[in-house]
Amino acid sequence: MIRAHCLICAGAGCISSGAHALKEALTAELKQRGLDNEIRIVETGCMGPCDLGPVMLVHPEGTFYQKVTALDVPKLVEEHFIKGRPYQPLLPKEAPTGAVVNTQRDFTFFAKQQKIVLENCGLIDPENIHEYIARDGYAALGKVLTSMKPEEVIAEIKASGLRGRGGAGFPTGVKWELTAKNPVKPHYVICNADEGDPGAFMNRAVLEGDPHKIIEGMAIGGYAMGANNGYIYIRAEYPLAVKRLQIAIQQAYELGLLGKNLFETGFDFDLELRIGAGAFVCGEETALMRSIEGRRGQPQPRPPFPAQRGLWGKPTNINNVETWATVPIIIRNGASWYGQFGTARTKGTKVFALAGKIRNTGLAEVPFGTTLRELIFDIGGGIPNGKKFKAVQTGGPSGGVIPAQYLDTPIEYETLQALGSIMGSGGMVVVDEDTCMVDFARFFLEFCCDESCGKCPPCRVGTRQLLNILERICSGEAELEDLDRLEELALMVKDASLCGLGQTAPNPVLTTLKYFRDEYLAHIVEKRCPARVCRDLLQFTIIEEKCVGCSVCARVCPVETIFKVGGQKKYYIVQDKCIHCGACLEACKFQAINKTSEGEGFIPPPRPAVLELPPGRKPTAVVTS
Amino acid sequence: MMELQTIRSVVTSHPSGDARFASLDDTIAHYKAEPTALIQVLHAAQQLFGYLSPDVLRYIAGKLKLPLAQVYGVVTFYHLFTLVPRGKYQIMVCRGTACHVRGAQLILERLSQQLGIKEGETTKDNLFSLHSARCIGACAMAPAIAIGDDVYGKLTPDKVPKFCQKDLKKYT
Repeated sequence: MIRAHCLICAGAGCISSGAHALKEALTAELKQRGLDNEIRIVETGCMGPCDLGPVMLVHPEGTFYQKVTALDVPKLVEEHFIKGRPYQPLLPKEAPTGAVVNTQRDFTFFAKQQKIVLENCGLIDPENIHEYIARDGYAALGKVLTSMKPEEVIAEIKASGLRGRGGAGFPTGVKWELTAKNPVKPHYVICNADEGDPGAFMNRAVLEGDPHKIIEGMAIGGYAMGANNGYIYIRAEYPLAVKRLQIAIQQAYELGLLGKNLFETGFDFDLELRIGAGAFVCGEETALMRSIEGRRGQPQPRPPFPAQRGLWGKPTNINNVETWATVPIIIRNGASWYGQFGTARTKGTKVFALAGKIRNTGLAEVPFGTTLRELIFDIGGGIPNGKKFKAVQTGGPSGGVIPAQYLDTPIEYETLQALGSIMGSGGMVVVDEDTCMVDFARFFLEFCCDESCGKCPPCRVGTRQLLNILERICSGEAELEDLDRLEELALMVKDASLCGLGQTAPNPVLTTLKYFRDEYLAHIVEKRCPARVCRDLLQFTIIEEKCVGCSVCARVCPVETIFKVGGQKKYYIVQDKCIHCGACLEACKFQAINKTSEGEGFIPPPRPAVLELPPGRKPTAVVTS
Repeated sequence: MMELQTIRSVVTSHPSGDARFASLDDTIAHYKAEPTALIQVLHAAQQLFGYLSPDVLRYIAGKLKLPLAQVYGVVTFYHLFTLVPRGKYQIMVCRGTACHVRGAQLILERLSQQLGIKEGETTKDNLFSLHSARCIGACAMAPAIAIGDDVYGKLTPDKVPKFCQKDLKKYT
C-alpha cells in the first residue's frame, strides 16, 4: 500500500545539481528502513524553481523540499516518514520575509502562477505514457477523432484566441485554416523545438517534462489540417529532451496513439524526430523546413508562406512547442474555459524563463496581463545580493531591454512591442546595476553576427558593422558620430533584412540606445564604463590601508605587473602593463583591490620610490623602468 | 555509362572493412537512404568517428546520392559538425545571455588557463576539447558548462581549479 509519493525533479537544472544522487540515496534509505513498499519515488520533469535544486515534492501533504542532497536523506526520511513532520532545514523560505514555507501551494513562487501548459511538468513521470493518460492524456485526441469534424476543431482553436507562442503571436486557428483549406496534398505539420534564444528554456521543460502533450497536440492538428505526417525539429543541444521524446513517440506507437487507424477512425498519423545541428537561424520557419529537408538552413523570402508552399513544396503548418502543448488542453476544457485566462486581446497563459540577476531563476507560467513587476519581484523574488534592478531583456537576441520605469506594464504581445521589445518565446533575462548595457547590446550583436546565415547582405554585413561600432564604444575608441552611425545602420538592417533574424537583430541596440543613452555617452565622451564591465575602461588599484602584503595578487597576475613596495609589506599595481583581467580582485581575500572606471580623469596612487620583485618572481625588464 | 554503374555498385560498403561503416550503413538504411536524412546521417557519422573526415563525407555522399559539394556545404553550415578531430569529450562553456551576465567569459578564461588550451583546441592527451556554446538551456544554473549529457552549473572562476582536479577526473 503506497502512502506517499516522493516526486524528485529530474529537469536539466536539478540533474546538474545532483538529482540522480538524491534518488539513489533515497531509494537505498527507504529500502533499508523497509519503507520501499509504502513510499514511491517518481522522477518528474521540471518543477520550475531551478535555483533551489535539487527539489523534491512529497505527496499527499504537498511538502516542498529544496536543495536536498544525498547527505540529507537519512535525516529527512527519519523526520518526514517516521516521525511524520516536515524536515525543517530543507523547507524553502520566502525571499523578502524569510518566512518558512511548508507546502508547495503556500510558496509565492507557485501560488502566483497559473499552470496550464505546465500542468503535468513536475507531477508525472515523463517516461511513462500511463501517467500522462491518467491525467486525461490523449482524451482530447480521442474526442476530436470520434466526435468532431476537422472544421469544428479549427473553430474551437480559433474561438479560444490561442496565439503562436513562438514569438510573433499570430492567431493559431487562422494559421491552421490556411493550411487546411489548401487543396494541394499532402499536408504536413511541424513542431518547432529549436529553442535557440540564449536565456530561454521554456520549451526544454515541456519537452523533457510532458512530451506526450506535444505529440497529442500535433496529432490533433494533423487531423484538423488533413496532415498524416508530422515532424518535430529539435535542437541537438537538448540530449535529454531528445531521449524523452524518442521514448514518448515509441510508447505512443505501441499503444496505437500514433501510426495507423487511430481510435479506429481510419485516421493515420506518423511522427518523426529531426535533430538540428546548431544553427540559430533554423528557428526561422523557412530555414527550419530546409534543414528538415537535409539542406543548409537558409531562409526563403515569404510569401509564399509555409501554408502555401512549405516542406517539400507542400502546405505545411509550423507551431512552437508551447502552442502545440496548449492545443489538447483547449480541446479538453473548451475554448471558453481557456478564454477566462489572460486579457481581452491575448487569451491564456505564457511560460517564462527567468534567468540572469534574479533570485528565483527558473520557469513560471502566468496569465497574460500579469505585470513585469509581479513576475520579476513576486514570483522571481527580485534581485539577489541587495543590488538594484536595471532592466529586463525579453525575447532573446530579437527582443529589447525594458527599464525599471515600465515594470508595471502588463505582459502582452502588443505592450512589449510598444516598448520596442518583443514577447519572443518567453525568455526573460534580468540585469542589475553591475551589467553594462553597451556590453549587453554588444553581446547580442556578436550572437546575431555569428549566427547570420550569410544569405542577405543587410544582415551579413550590417550586423558585422554594428558589432564593430559597439566594440569601438566598449573599448573607448569611439567618437560621438558613431552613435548616429549606429542608429542609422540599425534601422537599415531592420528594414532591409530577409528574415526575422536580421529584422530583429538591431532591437537590443535600439532599445539600449533609447533607454540607456547616458551609458553610451559615458563610454564615448568620458571613456568610462559606469557598470565597470568593459575591460579597456577599467582601472585596478590597491588600497594601501587594506593590503596586508600576502602577495597573492602578485602571484596570480598573468602579466606580472604587481610589485612589492620597497621596504614595506604592501603591494602596488604598475598601470602601464595591466590588462584589467581582474584576477587580483578575485584572488584578494582582504578586499584590498579597487576596481574603478574613472575615465580620463583617473590618477593612479603615487608610485612608491622603490619597487621590489615579489617573492619567487624572476627579474624582468619592467622593474628597472 | 557502364563504368558509372560499376562504380556505384562498388560503393555499397566501405573498402576498409571498418566496422563503424557497417554501423553507419544501418543508420542510412533506417532512413531508407533518403537524401533528406543527410543531417541525421552526419550526426550518426560524427558520433561514430568523432569527426567528419573527407573519406566519411565521400562515403555518405555516395550512399545518399548527393553531390559531395552539397554534403560539404551542409557540414560547414552547422556549428556542431567538425571536419577536424576533437577530444574525446567536448567541454562546452555556455555563453548564452544568462551565463554572459553571470560571468561566463571568466569561466572560459580560467578553464583555458587550467587546461592549457585555447578555445577550439584539444588537450595533448586528446581527452578534452574546449568550446563555447550559444546556449545550452541551463540558464537557471548560470554560468554553466556541459560535457556530453552532464551539465555543471553555478560555477565561479575560483571553483574552476577544483572542478578541473575533481570533476574532470571522471572522464577517462
